Amino acid sequence: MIYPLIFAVVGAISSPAEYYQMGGILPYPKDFTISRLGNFILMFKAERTFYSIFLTLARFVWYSVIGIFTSFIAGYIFAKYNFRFKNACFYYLLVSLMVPGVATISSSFVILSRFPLVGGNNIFGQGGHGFIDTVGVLFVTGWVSAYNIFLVRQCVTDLDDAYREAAEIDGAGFLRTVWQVYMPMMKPIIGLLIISTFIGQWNDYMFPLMYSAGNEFAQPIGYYITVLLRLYGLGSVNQLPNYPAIFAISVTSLIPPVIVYILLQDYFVAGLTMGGVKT
Amino acid sequence: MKAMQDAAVGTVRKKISMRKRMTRRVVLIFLLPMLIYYTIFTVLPIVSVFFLSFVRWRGIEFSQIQWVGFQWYKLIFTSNEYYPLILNAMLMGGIILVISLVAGFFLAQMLVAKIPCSKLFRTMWYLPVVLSMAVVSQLVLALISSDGVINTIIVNNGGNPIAFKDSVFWMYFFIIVLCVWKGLGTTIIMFMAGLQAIPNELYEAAKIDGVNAWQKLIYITLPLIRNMFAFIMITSVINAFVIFEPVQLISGGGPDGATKVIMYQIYDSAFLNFNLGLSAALSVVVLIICGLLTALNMRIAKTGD
Repeated sequence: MIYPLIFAVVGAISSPAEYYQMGGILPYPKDFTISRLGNFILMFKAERTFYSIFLTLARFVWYSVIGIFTSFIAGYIFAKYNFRFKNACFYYLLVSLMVPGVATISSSFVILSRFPLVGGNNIFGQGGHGFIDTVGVLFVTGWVSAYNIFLVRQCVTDLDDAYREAAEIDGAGFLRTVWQVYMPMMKPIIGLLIISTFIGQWNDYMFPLMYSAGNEFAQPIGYYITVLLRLYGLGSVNQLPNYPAIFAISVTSLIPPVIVYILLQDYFVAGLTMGGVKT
Repeated sequence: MKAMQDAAVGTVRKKISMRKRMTRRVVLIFLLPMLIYYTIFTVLPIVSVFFLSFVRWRGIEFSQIQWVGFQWYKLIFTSNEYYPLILNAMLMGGIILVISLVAGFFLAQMLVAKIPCSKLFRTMWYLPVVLSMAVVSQLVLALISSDGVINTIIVNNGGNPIAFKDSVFWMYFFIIVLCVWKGLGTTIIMFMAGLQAIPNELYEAAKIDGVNAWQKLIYITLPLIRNMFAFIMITSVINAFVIFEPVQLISGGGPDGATKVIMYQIYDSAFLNFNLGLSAALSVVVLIICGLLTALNMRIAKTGD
């Protein structure tokens, strides 16, 4: 199960020569010196690694804040308020759960590239490139997640209405009720949203590939890593790939999500089964 | 007395109308902007993908949009270049699905039984799920390139290198192994949740009645996790159907388009050939298949309750 990962770690501390001589199922780093561990920071020696990580962390913070804000507000409204068209709104959100996001890449491209008044576009969306290949595109989509709204709504429904009434009698407004009364009772779900945002952002490859890869300053780490690996000769025909470097870079880039997962794995399990049992 | 009652009713009414006003305000200030945003960035792409599938357009000037009717659909279902992509995706997805369902179910059974270190095993099995699909795909590429890991081992032991990238079988093999490896953790955790929800008394009663392991599986376990089974099956069939990264990074659809799946063609048509109409028409096919699967899933979940 984790053999490929062990292989990648051992492969990373071998020299290219040892790697090309290996006969068994693992390369044998015979001339191992402590300096070989330096391979693992190879990733940080590349030109734009720190920038990519910064961009990724910026996306992570942005999407955590916005995601928590929208899913708690909307989840709370759907759980505790009654208004006309409530069910209609609810089913309207349900639409996106039935459609895999990847199936709308071509039309999303059109909407992002023809967005009025952005990236040189005029009011009709003509003349420029819109959001495509801008840093902005990494931050404008995906603010409202129907799935997270449902998750929060489910949890708020399970909490007693009395909290809300008490808060309102004490004069708390809508935001204060959500923020100071209900949110502190739902820490596990906040944790789950933050963790899954982190892992999702760190690993995001498809979105930058399609909408921002043309701009070298709009490549988050999940995409930039694949650029780096190609730089070290992976998949190239006229360059001998430096496999130890390739393994080292891959391993380093996999570490943050692994640490987050190992430290916080109970949240994951809870989150998965929450979505699974209660559909 | 009457006046007091009237006053009380009045305040209650006032309270109710205040609450109504507040609800309206909250919905207008908070929910409405979200719905508008959702309409622009989520619903509009879904609607416009249908529109795009009826036109010929390269995505730049609106004046160049050409209405072509059902031409792209005709092309997809008559030319033998495109409908095999759907079959490829179904074949690949189907194999992945069957392997992960069977393996996931038995591994979950093992992990639910109190074997030593079961938490450690669970952690290990789930670990690949959090890794980046792009990076692990590239690791697989490093394994199977012509001078990659496997060929180096073979050559150093005196064998002839295998051209994995020219073989349909090996390309399918590695993509499927990668996807199963990456997704099995989720399946296991979900099955474990389903299995743990089965009351233990049932098994104890069965033990007293002298039921063997096989009968226990057929008559107790399987019927009771039927819902979980259906749920896992449909979520993973959709995930398997829209495989993209491994195909793009490992095989690039090759050799000769044999591993090209529908998602890859959607990407290829839209982003490499700027044929938005064809790409959109293929997307509509995916949308319809996935929509049917989800509707089926909800149906099953409902009848189960």
